[in-house]
Amino acid sequence: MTTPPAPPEPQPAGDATQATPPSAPAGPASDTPSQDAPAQAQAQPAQPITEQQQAHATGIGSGASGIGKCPNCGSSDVALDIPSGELRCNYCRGRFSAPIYQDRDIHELRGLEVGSAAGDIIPSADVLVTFKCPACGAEVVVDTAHALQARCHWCRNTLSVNEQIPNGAVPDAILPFRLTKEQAQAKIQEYVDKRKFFANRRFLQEFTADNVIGVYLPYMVVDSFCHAAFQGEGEHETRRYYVTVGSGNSQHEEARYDADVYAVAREFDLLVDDLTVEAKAEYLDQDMSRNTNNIINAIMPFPTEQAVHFDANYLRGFNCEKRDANIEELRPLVETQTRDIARYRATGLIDFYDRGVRWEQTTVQPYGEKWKTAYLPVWLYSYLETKKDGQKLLHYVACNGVTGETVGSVPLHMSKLLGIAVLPVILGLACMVASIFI
Amino acid sequence: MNILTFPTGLSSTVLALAPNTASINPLLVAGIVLIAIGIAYFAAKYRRYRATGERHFFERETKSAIEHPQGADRLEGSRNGQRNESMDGRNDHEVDGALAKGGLKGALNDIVHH
Repeated sequence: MTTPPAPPEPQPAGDATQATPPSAPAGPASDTPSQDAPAQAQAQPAQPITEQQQAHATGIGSGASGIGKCPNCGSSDVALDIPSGELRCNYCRGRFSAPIYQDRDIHELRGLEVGSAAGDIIPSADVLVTFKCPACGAEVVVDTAHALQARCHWCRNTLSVNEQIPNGAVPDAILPFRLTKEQAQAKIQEYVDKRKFFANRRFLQEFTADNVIGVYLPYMVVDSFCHAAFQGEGEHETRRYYVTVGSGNSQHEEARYDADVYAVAREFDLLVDDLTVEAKAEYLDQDMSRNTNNIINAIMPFPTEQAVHFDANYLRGFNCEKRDANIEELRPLVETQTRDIARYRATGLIDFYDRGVRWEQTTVQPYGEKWKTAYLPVWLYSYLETKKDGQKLLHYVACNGVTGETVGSVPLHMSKLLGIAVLPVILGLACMVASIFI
Repeated sequence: MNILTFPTGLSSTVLALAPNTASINPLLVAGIVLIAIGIAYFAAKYRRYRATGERHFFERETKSAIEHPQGADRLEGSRNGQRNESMDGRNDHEVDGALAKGGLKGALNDIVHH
């Protein structure tokens, strides 16, 4: 670029004789103290993970698969106490928790880091895991496609799968439920109650909040440290005025706008903390013409900073679904969403351009990223609607198991809605026809 | 207002709707407004019940921070007499990573198959 003129207000003016672009203005530019990292950390393509980079194994609880014992009395009868968010021993009533899953400082990320449970799923990996019960020696088989715990049929100790196995069943972290089933039922009932007038009659007859189920859904949680650069064109309004158009009785005033046009460039380091995407292919399909998976998406965000190292005892009493998507399958989506976050943050740097900016080139280059898998809690009510022609649609009403955010799809009584909505349309058509003769 | 004395038919209809120096027929305006109200009412209720506008607004709800912002701005010229309040092709608020889609198609599908 040639020596730029003094930048327009409200951006602070740089030295007009500088050959390099002036610094971008102050504003909501930085939420964290400045770091020296960018001077050393040049943007580079993400590198394949090495053994040295691999995150530590995240299995906790007893530290390995087997009996997840109460540290006080050694009982394996341990389950989640939702109000406190802690694990509780049903024998001695002692409480304990798995440690919080701590992430490294995002500034320290270099290359690709993968949680030990976020590696590629091996299709041939056995879903059946066999344990030798440490208490009595019996062999117990856990079907990890459906559960991560099983009870020894001889001594009734509960055996848990905590080790990462490459079939997508065991995550790095888990966010325990904080909303009880009763609280979730109340929220879902309230949500549906506000949508009764046009609700499908059969749905209203069959709906009961008792059918709400707690389920842990699989997600990939991504931290990213990257460099974003934007180039484009922006307009700043200099004058607004009104001109008279038309003639006779159809004469009226229209607004006109004059604007200065600028070539605009912005770049910055971007830190993204816990970008969360669904790790199951089924839930990534959110075409509302054939499913209601957008409901599962809409109850986000989850407070993932409260997630703990995975311990199968948190699953007791709940369902879970294992992930079936690998990092490379999710990477395009994560990259697109990271670009969107960068674009959203860039809006704070272009306030001057009140008529908007058209970004023509956007690049996001990662310094480093960290991927980990997590089970996140959802209270779910589902209803299968069968339409008159046999077409089926599965409706969800979902409640975030921590924040209580509730969103749902309620099947409609279409005849009733169309019947009422069409009345003004018919009246309008009648008026239009009448206008011909009057 | 003009009172048509011609027999009804397509030609007279076209003549009636053709712009002329008379003021716009209030019945025509009322008709258009009522049709718009009916469509808007249907769309609003459908959206509310089916939650078709709901998604995770990840671009603003995901924790993020920017550091070391830099920029350059160069005046290139001016565009005067524009009709739109925003510049053409503005995309500074666009979101490409939202997965939810097909709300309108879903509504049409429901109407056809109800």
